[in-house]
Amino acid sequence: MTAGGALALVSVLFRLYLGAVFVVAGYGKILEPFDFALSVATYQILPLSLINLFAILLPWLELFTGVFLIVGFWTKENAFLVSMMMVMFTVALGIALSKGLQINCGCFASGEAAVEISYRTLLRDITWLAMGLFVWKCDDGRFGVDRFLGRHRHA
Amino acid sequence: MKSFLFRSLGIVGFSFAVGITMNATRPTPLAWAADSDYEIYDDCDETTETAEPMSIADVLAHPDYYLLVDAREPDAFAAGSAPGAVNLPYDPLFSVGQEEIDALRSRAGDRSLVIIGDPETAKLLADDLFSQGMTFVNYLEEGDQWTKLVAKETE
Repeated sequence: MTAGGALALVSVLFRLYLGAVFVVAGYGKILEPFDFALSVATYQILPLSLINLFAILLPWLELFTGVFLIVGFWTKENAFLVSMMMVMFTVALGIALSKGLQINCGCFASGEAAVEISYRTLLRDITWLAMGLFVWKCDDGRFGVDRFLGRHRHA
Repeated sequence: MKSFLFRSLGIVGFSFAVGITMNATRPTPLAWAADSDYEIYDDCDETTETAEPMSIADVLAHPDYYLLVDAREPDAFAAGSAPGAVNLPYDPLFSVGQEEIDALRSRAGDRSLVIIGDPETAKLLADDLFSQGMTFVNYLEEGDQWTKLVAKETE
């Protein structure tokens, strides 16, 4: 296997994993929008007027980017968006941790099932960010819908 | 690069449009902007100190160190309690009065207090006394273990 082929294979694995993570994350928030809005509020970053709007819109972006990553549709664009979301989550987590807030992550489930934020959560988000950036830079579109759209970039 | 950004924005726009539509179709849609602050509970830096539990084995190891206080009603106390115990019927709705606390202090002398009775009430009484400055107060982990002690003495 060539180096390009190996990178593409790793990229596919990362793509499927990140896609699944975002689908699960988005779906959970879509089911409980109020709980997610409350989770957003606990970070004490967004003004009150933007919290609900954020809680309405973000889960669907997570869901669609997740689905698109899994099927390999516009992979680079979705990997870019996922990476930007991960930057946003990582910054928010970092701010909350630096303030010493003891709050639930709100990353997947809200309410009682949610996990409290920690530096472990931050490390996890940074890892996912790195995976997203890897897919953005290295995916060549050979495994997925992009191939049929003529977006396969030969190594 | 331009088409990359357009496609990325397209994904964002599509997701947001679906999010707005789906929120509008909910039986109880989330308002675009919250009309009142979310109630966020921050953990207090100061911990609330409460009385610690104690096992019957600890009491039996040094019985002279402790004054047992039975938190049950007088009728129940009269029907049987641990040897040497004093009765302080406790109603969780009312704090223990200063006179009763003074009486307990003089009766206990150098001994620590161990509250017995039904487990829940024993803990509440211990916490009440603790919060009023009686720091040498514990409660039995299982407040009704004194019955075993009585049974042993009867045998």
